[in-house]
Amino acid sequence: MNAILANRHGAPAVSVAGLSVGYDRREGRLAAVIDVSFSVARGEIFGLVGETGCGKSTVLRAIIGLLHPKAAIIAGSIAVAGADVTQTSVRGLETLRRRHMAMIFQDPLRALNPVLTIGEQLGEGLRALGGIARRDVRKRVVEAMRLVGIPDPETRLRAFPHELSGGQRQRIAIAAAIIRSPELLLADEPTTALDVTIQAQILALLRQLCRDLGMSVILVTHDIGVVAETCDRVGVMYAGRLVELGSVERVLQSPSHPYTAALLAAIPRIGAKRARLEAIAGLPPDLGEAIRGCAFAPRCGLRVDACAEWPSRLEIHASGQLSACLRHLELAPGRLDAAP
Amino acid sequence: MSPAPIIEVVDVAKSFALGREGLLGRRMTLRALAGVNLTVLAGDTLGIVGESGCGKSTLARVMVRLLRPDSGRVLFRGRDLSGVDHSSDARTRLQMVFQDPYSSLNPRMTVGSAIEEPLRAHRIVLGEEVVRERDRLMECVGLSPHLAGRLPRELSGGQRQRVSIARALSLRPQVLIADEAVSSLDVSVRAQILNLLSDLRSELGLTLIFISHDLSVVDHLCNRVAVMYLGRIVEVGRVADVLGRSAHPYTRALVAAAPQPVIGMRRRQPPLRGELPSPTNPPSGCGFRTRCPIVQSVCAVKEPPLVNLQGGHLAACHFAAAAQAAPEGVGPPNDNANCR
Repeated sequence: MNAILANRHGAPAVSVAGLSVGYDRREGRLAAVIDVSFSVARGEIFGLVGETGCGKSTVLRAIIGLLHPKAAIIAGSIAVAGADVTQTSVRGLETLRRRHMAMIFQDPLRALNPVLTIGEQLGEGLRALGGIARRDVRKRVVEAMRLVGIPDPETRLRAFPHELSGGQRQRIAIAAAIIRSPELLLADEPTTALDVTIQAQILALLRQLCRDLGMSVILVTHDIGVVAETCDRVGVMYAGRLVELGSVERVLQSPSHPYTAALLAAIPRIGAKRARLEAIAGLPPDLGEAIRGCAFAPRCGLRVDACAEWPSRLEIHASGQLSACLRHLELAPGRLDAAP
Repeated sequence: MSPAPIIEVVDVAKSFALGREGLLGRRMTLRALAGVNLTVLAGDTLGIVGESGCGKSTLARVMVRLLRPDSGRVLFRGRDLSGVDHSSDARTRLQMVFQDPYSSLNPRMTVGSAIEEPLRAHRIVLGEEVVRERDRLMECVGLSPHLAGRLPRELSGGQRQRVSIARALSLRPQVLIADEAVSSLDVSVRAQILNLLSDLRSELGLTLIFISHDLSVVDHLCNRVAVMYLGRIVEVGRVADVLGRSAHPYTRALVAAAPQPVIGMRRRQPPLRGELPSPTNPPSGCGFRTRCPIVQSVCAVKEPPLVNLQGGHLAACHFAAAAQAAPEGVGPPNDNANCR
């Protein structure tokens, strides 16, 4: 299955199989992630999209072992660098995070220590590795800052986070993440708080780092435009499940799940005048309640009675696409392009 | 019949005093608006776009008199409202909807009372009519009147934004100013609210001023658009002209940076280098010159005036015509139609 899920050669940078995550609340357990499987190849940028509460950030936090204290992995495995994150001790996780993966967050100001200079906190990550001479630490910090496009890094070393702009801070957060050359970078809405011209710079930087360092990236975003701009493959999540998976090209041009199609129809595009947007009626389901059949069925225009009973899971179709929909054949390719 | 101007902004400037730079440093002022001129015609749907700190929200607040300009005038139907009482008829004709409905609604007041409050305070209707009018307003924005007894936290983000809109409509405004009103909403819900605004405009004959950082949304909803940079309007005109045949290099960069959910539009280079200069210390001459790809020596000396290019399409650039003709960079966004 994983050979299908990661369409590149070599061992994947991360392989998630059958992952389910639950949150314990007073009202009972909430199923935040249900049976999610995907792999990310080396050097690949994988996008994970969906709306608020769909579980995309929870998947990311499960991979790096930073789940909320009330959340627990109920089933599944996450393979990174030959280890299964779900079975690893706290110390083992620290080693994985030190050597193999790193994460960047939406708000870089909260991710950086306000009382340490940029140089101190970037160097901290390297010193944790041990056995690196002080002079070399400084050299690699400056190098990392240069790599992420910070002008005049030798001077900026002494700056504090609050002295930098939002875009510069996100660059520093990226520098902190890549300074130990991780194979896998997890990015949770890294450009959502930034202006569009700065967003374009940061996304270009991520693409360049993947190309130059052979790093793999999982990019969690709510913005399909960002996916189109940046990613190689994409997974679409709805109500805790992965409902579609494929190359960005295929998924955006001929979606094989009605939710993907509906999301695309709800996005305005520059220059494509439409009198009305096709809004998706209704709301996502309450994840605290067990959902039978397809979770999207109550909002779906293609729904038939069987959808309520169908054990929703990702399947590969004759077209080569993966989606979790009984009625995927009804989604004629190119249907979305008919918009005047 | 040519529509009459409903709001005229004439030479409006507004600065905010900040603290000192250090203990004994100079007092800093942030120049939010630096001589803005803008005419909104009755029935217009005007978008105001720009990145954070460009002054777009300050402009909106000056228009509804939540802020008093340092100099210049704001005319509503030809009348200066600066000395007019808050509860006056003319003042209630301008209403505003904010980005975050959760913080603009009283958390302890039911949404029904939130809508009734302005009806009573301004004696729009009397006695038993109040509840009937409330229900009518709720239906008008697509909310079931059954929800009137709920508290804001019991509603979804989209429903809360509908409450804010109903509350703004309760005073029967002629102009509705929406400041990033859909920015915090998920894609599918955002489409619902955009459709609602578009319906209200045509049903009630509203003039809509829509402030957003999202060009795609403005392109979809608006017929005219003003682009702001560092407290100035740099380009204004019909949406098709400004976004399709941009005359200002900043507008071209914004259009190019807006991520579109379309394959085959990836750029190699981000459209703009560098970041927004500080509004406490704006550059001499043209504010955009520090990031401009076509900057010349004259730009540092002389501030370009906003000049009419043709048919109400205005731009403030010494090289507006050259920018429009230049082949490199972005083409007209209508190219999207060809992308499958």
